[in-house]
Amino acid sequence: MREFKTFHPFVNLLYFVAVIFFTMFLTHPIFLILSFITSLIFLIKAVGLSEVKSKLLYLSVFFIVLALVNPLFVHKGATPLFYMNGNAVTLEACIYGIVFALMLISVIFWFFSFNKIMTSDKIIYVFSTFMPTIGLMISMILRFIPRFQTQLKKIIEMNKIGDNPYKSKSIIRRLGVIFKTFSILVTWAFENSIDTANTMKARGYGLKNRTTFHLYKFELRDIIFIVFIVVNLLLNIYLYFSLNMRFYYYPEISPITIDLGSIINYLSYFLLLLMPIIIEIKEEIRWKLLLSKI
Amino acid sequence: MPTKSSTSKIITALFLLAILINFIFFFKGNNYLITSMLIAVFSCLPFYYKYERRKPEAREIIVVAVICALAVVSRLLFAFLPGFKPIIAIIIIAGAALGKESGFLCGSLSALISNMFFGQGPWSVYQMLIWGLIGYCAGLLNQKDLLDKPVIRYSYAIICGILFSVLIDFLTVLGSGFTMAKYIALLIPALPFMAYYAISNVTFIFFLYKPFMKKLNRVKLKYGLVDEQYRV
Repeated sequence: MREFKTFHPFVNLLYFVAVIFFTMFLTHPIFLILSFITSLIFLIKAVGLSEVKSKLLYLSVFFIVLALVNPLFVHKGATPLFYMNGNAVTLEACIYGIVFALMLISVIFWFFSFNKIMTSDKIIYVFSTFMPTIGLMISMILRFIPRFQTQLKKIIEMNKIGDNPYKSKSIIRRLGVIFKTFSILVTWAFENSIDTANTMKARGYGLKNRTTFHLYKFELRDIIFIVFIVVNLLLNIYLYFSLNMRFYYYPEISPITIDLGSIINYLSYFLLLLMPIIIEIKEEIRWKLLLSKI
Repeated sequence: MPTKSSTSKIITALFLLAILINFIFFFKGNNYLITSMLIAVFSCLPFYYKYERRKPEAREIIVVAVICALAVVSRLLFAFLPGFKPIIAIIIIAGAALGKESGFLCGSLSALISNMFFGQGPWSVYQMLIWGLIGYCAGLLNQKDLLDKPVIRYSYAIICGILFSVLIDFLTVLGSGFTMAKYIALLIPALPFMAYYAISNVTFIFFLYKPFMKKLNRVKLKYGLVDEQYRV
């Protein structure tokens, strides 16, 4: 996802908000399956196949637990499969459990990709356009963390002199030295940061007419992407409500409609999800073409 | 500045009303998950907005930033005991020492930033709100120095340890249609974790509260940060 990452932060954010919102809002099974497939492709493109594989095990456990909880405790639905302790386990509840688990898994997949695309600098940028003070605070915290870690290492090295209390067998002694380390760090952090505060004040923080600098530019492709997302959203919402695509699981599962209108709805939704991947593939092809010309 | 804060209150109230109307007519009473998420987001905004409008001084910003960074770093220091983290205790102390607004900011920003390292998820929004409220309520309680009484302090720490998993499980169940039986079935496996979190909070409050409060009060004096009622 190298290409999509270079888009303006607001474009990235709008895409993820739209996609996550739709994944949670549309409980129609076809929409959910489309979202699940795309989230998986997106994640593989963003983090690589091996990392996805390492997450699959605990996610599948999570999936199974979520899918099982619903039919065991919800006894609504028209078609009982079998009876357990006098309570019916219904087909509808089973299917709804699976659908709900699929939805949560896709949302989690989307959030994994969100972490890869929306890096901390982009989050700072988004915050600072609406709330400059909060944005400044976040960027400061992100600077303080590595600084405190370095200092923490220094304090630990210092305390290791003599017999190393961090590796001591008595857990009380170990905890004691850790609390001591933390206390030293806290004092140091406050004493040290007063310099930063004074410097900020001396350089005129909070005065009027001060300019800011950031690296992001709003380009034509960003505008096109935003227009695409908004048009697609409106189209999807219009089709969804005019065709009455609401899907019911209780008491009976409503049939999946396949006609011209609903197919347009599925396709436009799929296009919205796939757009970053299409951009990515387009760039890969362009890169290969350029290479072949050399 | 009574007018400014009342505008932000009116805006929030309108937003929440709009969400509820949407929820009733647009979603026809379904989709609890989205509704609760939107409400969580819009409940965070007025706190930020209020802080933003006050135009805080550089020193105030720095103190909050340092506390958040310490909260995140402390997670690494205690990494050898899994789940045994002082973050909640630090947020409570920050709220108690710096007042409710700074307490909210400390809580919600620590949640946001520690999730930047450990992974954002659907829970991030709720976590930001809940941790923020933990700091805010600590500030509220300490307006009359209630947290100086050990009984209230420790029971607050225990409540904070239980609150998070109770609420998150509630929201998970709400998403797929709420039944009490399902909720209890999800809560029972979470019980040992809740007890663990409560114990860890109490331990950290026991060890950290007095020294940390002393340090923060000293910083307040040295930086010239005074209580909210003295602020113009």
